[in-house]
Amino acid sequence: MAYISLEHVNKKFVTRRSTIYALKDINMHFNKGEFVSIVGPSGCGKSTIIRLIDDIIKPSSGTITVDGFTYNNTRPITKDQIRKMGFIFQVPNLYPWLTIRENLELPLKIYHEDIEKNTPHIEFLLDYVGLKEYADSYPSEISGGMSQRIGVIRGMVHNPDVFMMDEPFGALDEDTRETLNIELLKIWKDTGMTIIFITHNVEEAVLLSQRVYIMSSHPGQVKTEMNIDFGGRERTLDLITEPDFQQYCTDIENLIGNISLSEIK
Amino acid sequence: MTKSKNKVVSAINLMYPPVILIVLLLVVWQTVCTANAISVWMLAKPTDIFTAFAANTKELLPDIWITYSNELIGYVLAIVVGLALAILLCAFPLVGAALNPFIIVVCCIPMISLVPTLMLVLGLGRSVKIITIVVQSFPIICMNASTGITNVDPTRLELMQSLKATKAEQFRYCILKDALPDIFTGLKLGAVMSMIGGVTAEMTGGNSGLGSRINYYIGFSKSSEALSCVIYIILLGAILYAVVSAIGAHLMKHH
Repeated sequence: MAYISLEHVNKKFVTRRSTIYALKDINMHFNKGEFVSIVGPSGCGKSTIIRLIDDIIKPSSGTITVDGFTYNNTRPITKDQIRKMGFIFQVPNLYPWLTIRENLELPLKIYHEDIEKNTPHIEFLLDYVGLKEYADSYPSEISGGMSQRIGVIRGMVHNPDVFMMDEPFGALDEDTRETLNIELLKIWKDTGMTIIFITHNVEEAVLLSQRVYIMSSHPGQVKTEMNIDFGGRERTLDLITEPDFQQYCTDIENLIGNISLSEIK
Repeated sequence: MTKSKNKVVSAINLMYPPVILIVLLLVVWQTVCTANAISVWMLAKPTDIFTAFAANTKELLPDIWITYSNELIGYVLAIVVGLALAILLCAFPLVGAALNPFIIVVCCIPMISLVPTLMLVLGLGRSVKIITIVVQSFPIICMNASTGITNVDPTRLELMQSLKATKAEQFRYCILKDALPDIFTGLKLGAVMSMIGGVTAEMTGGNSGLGSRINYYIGFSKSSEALSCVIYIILLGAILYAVVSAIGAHLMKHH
């Protein structure tokens, strides 16, 4: 059975002027340890999906199950369940008034955990992304790429099983983005986490994921899913020039592209 | 070492333009008064005012004490009332919707129009003065704090929600810190408003405090003495403002 599943999930946003159907009849599943990307045109509700899984917002109807625990718009998620998840934002989202270390300790404080007991783990994570010497700096004193590395490991301080990433490297320059993608693959291999990765960058999705959900917009629906398999080859940046990599990208872009074109018209 | 030296240099750089301007204005004022032989009751010379300022300090001490202590008590109460109300209004939107118009109305009342009525009820003692200060300055503190709390950065708040933080935790770790700049804008404005309130009440009735002293001196056309009282009022206002700004700057070092 899938580790995470969404069944017949609908989400509508009611504003004073109109009702927007953000997601329509979403059925998805994510297996334990799997790296899955969700791609689609902007406004297709891909970010909404992980916010629903993380219970930041409630579905209008349908159910979500994580590790055997089912929740919906009337039954909320428990604190034990939420601890299994780590959420990474599009921006680093570090609190500027806290040092890097204090930012990393914040989730532990909210989870009422012993900070001192977790200090070695935080040191380990800082070392892991090579930012140990910046522990007592403030976010304004480090670069965008460094900040997002901290943003990523902040999602790991409580040892979650699932990583939900909302276009985490979208705001970074190409080089930093590639570096962080490779670092993310290493984290995934080292931890065996389940990763749900939202992106509008098709190359990024193909490079990282084992499976890609392709969505269409107005309303947000799952158009299709695609397995990405490179046989035994390691996922590195060298892969990008391979013909089968290019083929995957073209296929996905065509699937998304048709929709975007009709939207423009 | 160099860092602290740089700090001193930048502080001096900030300070000398206003100091030069003040000195220049005083010189012009003094010259105009002397050259045109303006009567002292029409416009006192700066030297007269400073002489009166130095000579009257001892006599004025009880009044200075009353004005300053009322002011501090009133301002602190206004901060407590203003911030508590802001939290209440933001935590319970229904209460907020009901009370917001009242707060705006209170903010719009020039207290001088209300003080005589208040004095009929409360007499001319301390309480009416402190109440005037509180009523004059809590709405602006409350309104600014409410703005800060309501306009919390949604992404920062989302982090709290993703961690399933309770409302109290969200407030403590995120909302309060994010709202500090607005809160301190309100506190600074509140300091200014509280000075207006305090002196207004003293000038309207009663015979204690710097406000009533100004009335007294003006009654005898002693404008240099009256203006020397104004210096004490300005001094307290400036100190309050500076202290609040310094606390704000310390708390928001990394904002």
